[in-house]
Amino acid sequence: MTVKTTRLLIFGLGLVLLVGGIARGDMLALWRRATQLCLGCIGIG
Amino acid sequence: MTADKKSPGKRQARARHLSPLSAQQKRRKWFQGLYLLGTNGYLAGFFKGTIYQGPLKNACVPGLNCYSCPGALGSCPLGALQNALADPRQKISFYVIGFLTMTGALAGRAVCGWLCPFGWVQELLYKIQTPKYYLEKQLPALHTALKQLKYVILALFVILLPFIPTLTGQFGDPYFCKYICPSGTLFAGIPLVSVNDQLRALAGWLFGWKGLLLVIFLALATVTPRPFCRYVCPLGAIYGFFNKVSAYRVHFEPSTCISCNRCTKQCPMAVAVPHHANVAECIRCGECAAVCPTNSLKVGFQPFQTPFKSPQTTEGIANSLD
Repeated sequence: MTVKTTRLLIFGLGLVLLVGGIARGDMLALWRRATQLCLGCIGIG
Repeated sequence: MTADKKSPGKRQARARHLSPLSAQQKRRKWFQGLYLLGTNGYLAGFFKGTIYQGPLKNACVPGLNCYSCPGALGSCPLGALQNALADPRQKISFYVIGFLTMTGALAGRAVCGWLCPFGWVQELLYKIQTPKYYLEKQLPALHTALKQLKYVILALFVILLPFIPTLTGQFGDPYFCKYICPSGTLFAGIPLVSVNDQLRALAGWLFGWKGLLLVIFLALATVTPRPFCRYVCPLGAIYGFFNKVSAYRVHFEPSTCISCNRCTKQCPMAVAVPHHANVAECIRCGECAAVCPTNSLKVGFQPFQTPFKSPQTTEGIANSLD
């Protein structure tokens, strides 16, 4: 398998996961978390 | 006898500082600056001591960019990955894994070299005129061992520790963000604590610990190139998995290489460039291509057009090596 084919397969797999994740509501879950201040992340918690 | 003649190490360090920037290097510097401003454009947050809460936060940005940074418009993929793993209701975010996979297939660790704000900070600090140390030369065994540390941190602090509590239905913590990430301290912790009185009152030993780690990494970055990227960053470890296949890569034309090893000496990640250019450590910064006297190296999406012809004459190469 050439590098180009492997790259295409990996990119395709990533695309499937990304689209599947969006359809499942992963972005909304991410938004809910990322819009709350992560106290642990800033060293308070 | 000049100081340079006394110390080849000093001469090499000066050469690294003073080598003129190629067009690609200039473009990269602009990219790094514009990316930092573009992804941290919520400037009001720095004055109010709050974070952006708009719709853009549902998307990941490629680099290490804490989503609790007051200016952050998007989400750090590493923070998003850990927080999903630490949540017993979700556990795995297909969106984040898909985003990392696609970005890796396209760019690999070019994200580290061209986009990551903390990588840029380390590059700027390395420009400070101090004695330079290269672990790969002075303690090569330690350098080789430390290169594996980022994979241990990825497995332990990013995946296992946040995930394990969810097996019993409990929420885990984003351990890497909480106990290690110096980027979060620099771009999120310090700006927020500086202007937000309530947060300042809450800052305790953890803030002190993370502050200490940040100081250590910043101090190390003045004497050795990109120490955090080389040995610690788990996001770099993830993108490194894709380096062998990523579309943006280092292209090498062996027929014109004169084995001068300038590329390897210049590499900030200590990669043996000509024959191992696309290993997991390469951040696609293009410093190797910029110093190649025969233009045998190229960093980009497109390979060399065949037949390859060096634009320099043999005489020109000889002069440039003097």
